[in-house]
Formats: sequence, C-alpha cells, structure tokens
Amino acid sequence: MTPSLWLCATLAFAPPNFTVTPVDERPAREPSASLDAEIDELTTLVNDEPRERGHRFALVRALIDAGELDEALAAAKAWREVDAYNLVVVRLIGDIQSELGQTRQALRTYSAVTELLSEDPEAQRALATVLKAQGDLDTAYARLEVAVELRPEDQRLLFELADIELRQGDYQRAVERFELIAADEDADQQLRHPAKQRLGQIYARFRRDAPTDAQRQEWSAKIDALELEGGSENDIKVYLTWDTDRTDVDLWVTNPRGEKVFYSHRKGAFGGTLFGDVTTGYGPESFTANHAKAGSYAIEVNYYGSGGAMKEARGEVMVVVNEGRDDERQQTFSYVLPKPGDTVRVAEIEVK
Amino acid sequence: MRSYFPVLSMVLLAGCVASSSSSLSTTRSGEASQVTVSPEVARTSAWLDDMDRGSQEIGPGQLEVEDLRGAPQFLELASLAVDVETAGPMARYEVEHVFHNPSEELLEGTFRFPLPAGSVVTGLAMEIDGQLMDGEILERDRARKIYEEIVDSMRDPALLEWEAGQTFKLRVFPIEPGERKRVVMRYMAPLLPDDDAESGFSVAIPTAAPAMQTSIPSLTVSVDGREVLARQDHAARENLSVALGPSSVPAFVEEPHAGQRYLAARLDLDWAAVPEPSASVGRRRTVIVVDSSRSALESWALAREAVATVLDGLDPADEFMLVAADLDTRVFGDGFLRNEAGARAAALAFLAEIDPDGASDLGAVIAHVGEALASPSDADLDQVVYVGDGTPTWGTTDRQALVERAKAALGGAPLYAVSVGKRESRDTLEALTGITGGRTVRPQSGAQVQAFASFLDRAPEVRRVATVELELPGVEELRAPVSTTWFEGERPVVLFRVGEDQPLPREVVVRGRADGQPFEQVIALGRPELLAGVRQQWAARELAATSDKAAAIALSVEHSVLSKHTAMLVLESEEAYERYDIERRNGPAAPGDPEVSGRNLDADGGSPYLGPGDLQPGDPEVHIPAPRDAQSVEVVFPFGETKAARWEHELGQWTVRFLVDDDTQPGIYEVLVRVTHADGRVEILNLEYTIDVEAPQLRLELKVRDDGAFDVFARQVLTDADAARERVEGRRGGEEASTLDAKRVELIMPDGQTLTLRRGVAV
Repeated sequence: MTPSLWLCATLAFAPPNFTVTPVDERPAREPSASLDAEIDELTTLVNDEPRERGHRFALVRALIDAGELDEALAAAKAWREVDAYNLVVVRLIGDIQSELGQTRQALRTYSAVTELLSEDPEAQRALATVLKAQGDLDTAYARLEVAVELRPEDQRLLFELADIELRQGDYQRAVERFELIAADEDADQQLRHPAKQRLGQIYARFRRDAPTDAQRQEWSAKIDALELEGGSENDIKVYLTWDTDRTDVDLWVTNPRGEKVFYSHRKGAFGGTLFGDVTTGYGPESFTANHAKAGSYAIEVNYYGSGGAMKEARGEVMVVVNEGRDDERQQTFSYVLPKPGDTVRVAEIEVK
Repeated sequence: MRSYFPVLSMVLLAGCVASSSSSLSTTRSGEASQVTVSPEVARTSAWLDDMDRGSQEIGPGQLEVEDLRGAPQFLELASLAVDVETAGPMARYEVEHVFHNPSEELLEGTFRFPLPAGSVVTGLAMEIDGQLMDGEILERDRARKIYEEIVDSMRDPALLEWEAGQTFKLRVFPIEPGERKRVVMRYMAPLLPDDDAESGFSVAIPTAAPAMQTSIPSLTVSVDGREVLARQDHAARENLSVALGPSSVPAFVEEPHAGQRYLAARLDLDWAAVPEPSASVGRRRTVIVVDSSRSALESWALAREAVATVLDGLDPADEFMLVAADLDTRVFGDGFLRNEAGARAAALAFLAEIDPDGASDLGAVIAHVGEALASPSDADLDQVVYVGDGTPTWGTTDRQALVERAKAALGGAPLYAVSVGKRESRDTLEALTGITGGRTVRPQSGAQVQAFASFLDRAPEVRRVATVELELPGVEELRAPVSTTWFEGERPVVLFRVGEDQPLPREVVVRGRADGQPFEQVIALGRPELLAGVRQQWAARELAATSDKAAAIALSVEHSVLSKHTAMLVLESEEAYERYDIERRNGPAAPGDPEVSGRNLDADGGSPYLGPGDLQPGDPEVHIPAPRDAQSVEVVFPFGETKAARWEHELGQWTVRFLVDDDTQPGIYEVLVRVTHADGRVEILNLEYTIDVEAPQLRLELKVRDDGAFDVFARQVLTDADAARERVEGRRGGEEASTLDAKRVELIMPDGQTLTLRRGVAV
C-alpha cells in the first residue's frame, strides 16, 4: 500500500467527531409596556375572579416574562393559598425559586407533591421529571416507583423506570423491563420501538464487554433480532420525552443543510429519520442518524398543542452519539415550554 | 409546671330509674370539667381513654333543613329512643330519632350523627312512605352511582357517608309537611373506663337535648333490655352515663357465625407482677419534633398548640430541643435549651415563622434526634415527643426500616406521638411508639392536648409493658390491640377467630418488656359468654388492619360494618333493592342482629297487621300483637307522649289506653309501637289512626210496603274524609264501607215514640 493510498483510506473510514453543546435558550425576561398592561389587566381579573385558574396562571407567567420574579413568586403563592392541590402552581413556585437560585427551597416546594397528590401517578411522574432535571436520579426513581405502584399497567411508567436504571448503570434490571415492553405485542409501537432502541444500546454495551467471541456473537444475534432500523450502531440518536398527558410536543432536528426533520417530514434527504409522532402525550419520539454529515445539528423541541388551558410541557431530550460503539456518549437536557407554540433549542451537535 | 390530668366528672343523676346491674351518671356533652384527681396510677386507663376518645359531643343526631329564605335551621327532635346492649368490650347502640316538620313546606334536610371515637357504624334505617327501610352497605362508588341514578326522582334514596372526623351524614328528602321523620342509627362503641362503676366500665348514652330546642318531648333509654329512663320533656344538656355491673361486662365473649367462632377477650394483667419503673424522675431532656411538611398545613395551629402545651407541662429545670421536620430538619436555637419562659416563647415564635411545605423525611429526623440524644447529658430521663401525621413521604418510607432506625437511634428514650393531620399513618406511629415504649394519642381539642401533657408528666412513674406480643395457642387469626405499649390500669382486648370445630385456647400469653427486662404473663380465659356483636368487633379490627381495598369492601359488606370504602344506601322499597340487584342483608327477613321492622312480629303467631279493629272507641285503646314474653312494648303518640303497653290477661294482648283531647283536630295520626322481644330484638310498627269528631250524616228514606205500613231506611252518607280514611284503613270483608260508624240509629217520632233501627244490608 502506497502512502497516498493509506492516507486516502484513513480519511474514508475515520470516525466522525461529535461535540454536543447544551443551549440554554431561556426566553428574555424583560419588562415592557405591553407586558405591564397585560399584568395590570390580569391582576384585575384575578381580583375579580380569584378562583379562576387561567387568570392566575397567566398572571404568574406574565410576571415571569417581565422578569419580576419576586412578584411572580408572591402571585403564585397567593394562588396556592386558594388552590392548594394544584400541581401547576406548586411546580411554578418551584420553578421561580429555582430561577431565583433558591435550589433547596425549590426542592422543598416540589417535594410537597408527594403529600398533596400522593395518589396521583401523573403528579408523581411530574415530580420525577423535575428531580431528573435536577440530577437527583435516586429520588426520581423512588417517585416513579410510587407511580408504578399506583398504576402498574402503565408501560410508559415502566419505560421511564428502566430509563433511570439504565442511567444509573443497573443494566440488568433495565434490560428486563425493556424486554418486557418490547415483547408485548399489545404494547403501543411508539413505546415498543424506543424500548428496542434502548435494548440495542445495552446489548451493544454487553457485546463490547463480552470476553469471548461466542458471547459477542450471541449479543450480535440478539441485536439483529431487534430488527432496528439502522441497526444498533448510529452516529446520532435523539430521544424526546415529556411529562404531560394530552399534549403534543414535537422533536425538531435541523441538519447541517438546514433541513428540518420533524413530524411532517420524517425522513431527511440529508439523512436522519424521525420515529414516532405522539400527539396525545408523553412521547417518546426519536431521531436516528445512522451516518451523520459534517456540520451542525440543532435539536429543538416544539410545543404543538394541548388539551388544557394551563398545560405546560416539560421533559427531557437525550442525545446519544456514537451509539453502540466503544465511545458512546449520552447527554440529557431538560426543557420547559410554558405554552403551545413555544419552541426551545436544547442542544447542538457539531459533527466533524 | 406540672399538673394532674383532668378527668370528666361523674355526677349521679337523681330521679332516674336504675336497673339492678347498672347505675346512672351524667357527663357534660362537649366539655370536660376540670377537677383534680388523685395521682393513683389506676387512673391511667381513664387518662388514656379520655385522650383517645376525641370530642365528647356525641349527642343525638340532628336534621338540618333550610327555611324559605335559605337559612339553615334544625327540625325538632320529637322523640328519642336509645337502646344499648353490651357486647363484651363494646356496646351496641340503636338510636331512634323522630324529627318533626311543623311547616307546610316540603323540606330537604341533612342528618348528621357524630360518633364517639372507636365506634363503628353497623346500620341505618329511615322511614320512607311510612315504612322503616333498612339500609345496605355497598362499595362506596357503587352506592354513589345508584344514588346518583335515583337522586333526581321525587323520592330520593338516602346515602350515609363519612363526613369528617367521627361524623356521618345523610341526605333526607323529601320531608313532607307535618311529617314525623324517623331515622335510626345503629353503631357499636367501646365501653368507657369508669373507676366508679363496679365493673370498671360504663356506657355513654347520647341523650343531650339539642341546643336548638328546650327539651326532647319524649325520651326512653334502655340498657341490656331494661328501661333505665323514660321521660317527657327531657331538658338536660348532657349525656347520660350508665355504670355497668360486672355481669354486663364478661371478660371473654363469643359469637358463632357461619361455621366460625368470633371471640373477644379482655386482658386484665396482674399489674402487681409488673416491675415498677426504676428510673428516678428528676430532670428530663425532651426532644419535640414537629412535622412541618405540606400535609401539616391544615393542622398547623393544633400542632403549635400541642407544642406549647407540652412545653408548658415540662419542669423549668428540664431541657428541650425543638425540631421542625419536613424535607429538611431545622433545629431551633442551639440544641437543648433550658425550659425557661423566654426560650419557650422564642421556640414558639420559631414555629410561627414556618410555612409548612415539602415532603416528610421521617428517617432523616429520627437520625438527627438520635445524634442529639447521644450528646452528653446529666438528665435523668430522655424522651421524644413527635407531633404530626407520621406519614413518611421522602427518603426511607418503609415502616419496618423506620422502626429499626428509631430503636437503634433513640437509645431507649420513649417516643410519644401526638397524631395530628388528616393523613395520619397510625400504624407507623404505633409501630414507632410501641417499639420505644411510648404511646400514640390523637387529640382533637386543646383539652386533650392538655391531658396528654399531664400524662407525659406522670408516664415515667407508671408501670408499663412495652413491645407487647400475644400468643394464643392454636389461634392464627388474632387481632391484638393496636397499641403495643400497655400502661397500668389499661384493659386491652384481643379479638380472634377460630373454626367452630376447633378447640378454644385456654389462655393468652402476654410477652413484652417491662422496665427494660423481658416480661411474660399468662392470662386464663375461662368459658366465653355468648353475645351478639363480637363478630362485628372482629370485622372492625380487621378492617382497621387491612390495606387491601377489595378485602376491606368484602369484610365491610359481609359483616355490616361501614368502612371508608363503603357507604350505606337506603332505598324506598324492597322492589328498589331488587331492581338494583342489592342483596338484602339488613332487610326485613334478615336474621340475627337487632332489627327494626314492621313485618316480622309473627314470631308468636300474632298478626303483623294493625287495623282499625285494634283501636277501640271511647277511651281508645291499642292492641298490639306482640308476643306475651316481650320485654316491653312502648307506644309513642304523635303528641309526644310515650306509653308503655301492658299485657292484658283477659284479652290475651298487649294493650295501651289513651285519651283524645277535646281540641284534637280531625285527621289521620300515627303512633309508633316499639316491641323489645325477650331476646333483645327490637321491632317497630307504624299505626295510623283517625280522629273523626264529625257525627255521621244519615239519609232517611221511607218506603211503603204492600200492607200499607212503612219501612224506614237510614243510610250513612260517606264524606270525602271517610273515603280517605277508608283508603288508609282498608275495608273489612263483607262491609260496604269500613267507616260506617253509626252504631245505633233511633227515630224519635212526632208522637214521642222512639224507633230503633236494626242493622241491615244495603239494597
């Protein structure tokens, strides 16, 4: 082999290099004349109809948007005074406290959900999402366990439980749960497919760690049996989940050519496929780029719509690069979308 | 300053009729009088009982309606009959209320009935269309669904549900103008410890006259089949207490049912054999932990009051540490503080600043308290007081893990729990206090918190057995007392069940720890006495112990014991029960427990029907077809009078006479007849009678006979009122009308001759 040919081969098979950058794209918190007018109007409405949740919610949000966090906190607490068992207001208070840097106080506020809505699996799940966003996987897991106990037939909850086990390195338990979901022919495809994707990741890890060729072949066979589109090795995989029922949140991935892959354009001409468009709640949706192109991929979340007036969308985006390879990396980004129509960019992937 | 625990005063009620096995006294409803008692430890059971009992407001039920302006008001309680039957450690109550709607309006009302602590509802009956209909226990959602289906009709069903605390409520509709609405509640309540009673127990009777009326026009009370009180215009604003004789409270009772034997045994320990506490009670260190989690918000005022009271009860030389615990653990000040007025005030101000929020990390605070108690001290005694609901929602939530942590961390210091908050985890609190030799109480008033503080003061000097475990040889299904620390003077009860072909255990082995040493005592059981109601006590204890909803519903329905998962539904007719496929367990044909029914008086061959023939003219008398061996037969008249019927040998019938006042308006009236059978069953009959003061109107007709003479015919003219009466009373066979009340017709002729007409047949 000549030196020039050797160089050529190296260029052709050099693995891509990924840099995943979180994007803290918070909306501007600035007062404005129109916001002031809106706040005045909402304040009047709240005074006139103190039990109308829509007014309360809008007022707190407007105050947050205006950057008046202390006032927003006071308004949210006043709301909670008359609506103690409302998950939305509890979460809002915790959010504001978080923005004010009162992290421990925020956790105290969030944790009240365990007492206020102890029998509500959705509330427990919502609390788990907040805790995951704060990096407290152990407590998030405990909340999900409670949610599963309350609604054991809910495979989405089991999926999320397995997801945390996976993140905590408890691969065996995670595999057991994912396999149950993947094998259940009655389960929703939108849950079975990502379960298989996760299994593919874990099996690939087991394959890497297997000491013998025979064992590696066994794992390869199991991965093949999953019949995953693009196999178990991909350059980029993105998962989107959210925590609110009856909401439609969409994953948007814009590839280096500016082509947006999303629910109405699932297969990008430049590569990448979106799987699953969940329009009623929770996700997950996933994006797979088997061979990523050089350039920048933008990961965004769009809140398309909801069945309720005060439904926020919250959740996580998990970005996996070099999926199934020795240097696989996973990063998780949380997001909050206050109202339908909102879009937030959570991460960018630079491919070189 | 330390003070002695106030107990309820017991005042002899003069003028009441007492049976040979019971005596009467009164307790004031709704308040506890403040008297100093001797510090005898034998009073302990009364202390603890008063703390556990909750509000003493256990007067009769009330029927609240709205007047035309929508303002709430209460219908008059026209009569009240309370029948109490002791059933081992509890008593069965049947409280019959008759409310009067004096208005001309159709009313809708809400009946509320407060129950003493530890009570269980076992039955409900309501008068609908003149008939007393017994309710049935159903799964709560099903009951509510049926209720909602029917509720818009003009004849509503009734749904008895738990409202709050120990109060149950029932919607009552319709209440017709002038109607006397009868509502009967049946429940079981624990006997009251009463040192003045020969047996050590008494029963509380809910007889306090409601505040909104001057008196109860008619009141009767019977205990164990004996009438102990019968009064007109009962005005006392206090409940009755009847002291029980030893024969009324056997220690070991049994009720066989469906191949099973349900048993209850009172465990009277020989306390003289229990070691006295050896620790001297000098200076103490007290850690007070207040649950400041979100669930404490609604009860925060009571929790703070409890802390203030406990602090007040400590000696100035004592030390205390105040901890507010939720997700975080916050300690007031710098650890233990001398119990001085300034420190107490500052500690309470510290609590006042806290806004209860967050989850409850009980495990974390137990660990924190353990560390604090491990610090060097010259105190003679350490103790921990927890004020909260005991529901862990963060960190370690497993009960057994918490118990192990408390046992290891507290170093022998007893943990006392003052349970406040509606999310109480009684089991967790009992487990924590039981393992440490403390006690759980659930006060509902400031007076009870005060009682707890006094108890806390004296508790170290009282003999106790902690971590009690029971062994009944050969018995698997037993329900031990909830509390696993027994204090001297207490008389706990164990309930158990065995198959009818199984031998009964002869003894109960009580094991635990007394003054830190292993303790064991064997209590002989003897032969059980047969009594109704033991099965329901067992079911109630079983219900309290089960967390399985389906099992709880099955237990509740099978044994007719209301639970939080069930409700009691009363429908208007037997047909309605059939229509909704509701099995009749408490209906007219149901065997066993005391019943209220107008249909099954035929036990002795008597007719269940009371017709006009049973009412005599003149000084009317009522003949009641009750069996000769009935204990009593009472007739409640609509004008408030209650009369006891007598067995008339000549007639072979129970009979009562009454007078009709001159100013009585014509109309249809109703009397209630209450028959107490020899076996204690209670039967109720309705009887309507007519007051007809109008002279009969006759139409005369002369007919000429063939021989030239005249026949005179007199026909009674039946009025609309007569027709209505006939619809009520029916017509007896062969008669043209049941209301032919012209007994004798005489014609006085112009010449002075009087002709008496003979009764004939209409043509």
